[in-house]
Amino acid sequence: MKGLIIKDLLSSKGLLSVLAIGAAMMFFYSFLGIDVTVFVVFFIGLLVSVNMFEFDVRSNWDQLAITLPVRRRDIVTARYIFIGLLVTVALIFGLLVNFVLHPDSNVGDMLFENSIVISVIFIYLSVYMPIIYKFGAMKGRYISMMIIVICAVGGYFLSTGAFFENTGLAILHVLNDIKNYLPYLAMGLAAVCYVMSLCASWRIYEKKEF
Amino acid sequence: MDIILSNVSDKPLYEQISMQIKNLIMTGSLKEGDALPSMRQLAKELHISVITTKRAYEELEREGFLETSTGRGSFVAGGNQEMLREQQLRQIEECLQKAVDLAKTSGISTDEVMDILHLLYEED
Amino acid sequence: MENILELRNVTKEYKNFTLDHVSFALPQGMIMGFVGENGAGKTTTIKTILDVVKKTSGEIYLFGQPIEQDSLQMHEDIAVVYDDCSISSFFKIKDVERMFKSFYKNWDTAKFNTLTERFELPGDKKISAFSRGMKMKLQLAIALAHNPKLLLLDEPTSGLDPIIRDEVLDMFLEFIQDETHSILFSSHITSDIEKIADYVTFIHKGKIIFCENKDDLLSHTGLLKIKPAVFEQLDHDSCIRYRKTLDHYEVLIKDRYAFQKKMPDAVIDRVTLDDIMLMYVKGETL
Repeated sequence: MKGLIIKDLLSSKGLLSVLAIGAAMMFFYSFLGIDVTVFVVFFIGLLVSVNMFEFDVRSNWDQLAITLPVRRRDIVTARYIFIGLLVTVALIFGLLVNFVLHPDSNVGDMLFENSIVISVIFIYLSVYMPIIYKFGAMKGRYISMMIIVICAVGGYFLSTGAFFENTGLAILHVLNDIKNYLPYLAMGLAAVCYVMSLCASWRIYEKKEF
Repeated sequence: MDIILSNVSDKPLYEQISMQIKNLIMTGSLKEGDALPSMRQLAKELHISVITTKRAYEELEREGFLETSTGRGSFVAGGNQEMLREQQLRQIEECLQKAVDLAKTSGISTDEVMDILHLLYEED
Repeated sequence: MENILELRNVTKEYKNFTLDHVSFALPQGMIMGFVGENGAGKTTTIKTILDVVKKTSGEIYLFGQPIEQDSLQMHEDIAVVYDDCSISSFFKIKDVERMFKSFYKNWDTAKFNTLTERFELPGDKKISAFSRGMKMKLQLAIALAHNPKLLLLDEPTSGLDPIIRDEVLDMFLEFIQDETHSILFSSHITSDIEKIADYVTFIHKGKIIFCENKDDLLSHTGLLKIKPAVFEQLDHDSCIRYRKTLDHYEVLIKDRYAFQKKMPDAVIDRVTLDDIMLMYVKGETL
């Protein structure tokens, strides 16, 4: 499995420009006092995962990977580890940039926000990756875009619709109450989702034909 | 080993091989105890299937020309001088039969044929 | 273990194509040439052996074990070369080396480097800049460098010039000098198969037409050209297929030596693998 992670690492050479732009953006905007870590990390996570899968499809990698002395599961696990690590490293990098350029920021607040952010990203990946495994990189992209659109539209209605005012307020109340535990709950939930997603992807990949 | 295979020959490949090896043994190019290339090596050299060389070697072993021991390879068998001589005599008889047939159909006498035979022997 | 690879009644159903009860066996120490026209099922067969494509029914045994057992050791001992190169275009040769070294226990770096040098593969270019032939050579280098026992090759010599092709065929022959090694390779370059195969398996429209010893096949099969009158009196057993041309019949004969003895005046030509395949596909049975 180590070899598979090495492979993804070597493949990301092709994405160096993207990662460099992301890093540059984090520096630049941080100077201006705007924390773009969230967006950058999200898009890095998205872009890298899509591209990793697309590289594989384009080079017909899977039909060879399956003949290597690795289990099909390991091929999936390695991908999950690689993306998870990449997103985490990107986030830590963003945190450090912000902290270095603004040493007076509230560490507690930063960690709170970013734990929610990273949890959301991991939950998103948990939904997204099995979709790619099942439907392929191309279709997976469209499906995930649809999911984003649906969530955005849904979120919009939730926030403005008077219809949902009561439920919305109730939710906000609950969230306020558990404010202190929220980071841990969020990260725990994200971890569970990610592992469940891994198992789902295992099952999908084990049946797949190339 | 000097073996030349012909694509246009009447004989199947394995026969060509076994005949040529027999020939090499009979003419003394291969002596008793000489090592032959392995079946696989020979197959590679001649660009033919190892199944064919295996068959040729097996036939030669059956007829007593080769001895194969696993791990050591194939060697020219000893003690087949008698057999070689027999074979050669048989071949000579075949050739002479042809000459005799020809002589009879052309009305050439036994004496004339014997004269030719003597001449040929002395030619060396 | 007699047979390094064995297929029994392997079937794979697709919408427009079926691999139909494919059976054959590849003994240790042998090379099997796998021939058939495009779309006949060669690639599909190779993929079912590797479980890249899941068979619908039938059994496949690798090194004596059913492929369902799928041990990692099985994978260490096999090497695949596909028609389409499966390595990412961003890599350079040293990346490939680093990657595969971590995959295989028996990876031999020295051997890989010797092969890539022999194949004159540039170390400073990305694989995206490689020609088709170079990509094939790279795959062959990878395949041989981890010291497998079984090579499964799909059109391994296509895209290679005749000189390199000859060298590669020689490498294959070198590979099976070890009796525990075997090769199964599909090719439409039948002259390559004629050169090095021990067995020839012919697949057509998903079915195995024959699986024969190559030397016997090529030396015994013959093409008989005869007039219609003589054709009527032919013994059906010795004929495989026939074709009618304008003024005569062409008949594929199973054993030309035997046939020549029965009909000493008959004109029987030797055949190439192409001739045989053509007659099987285009000819009719008696």
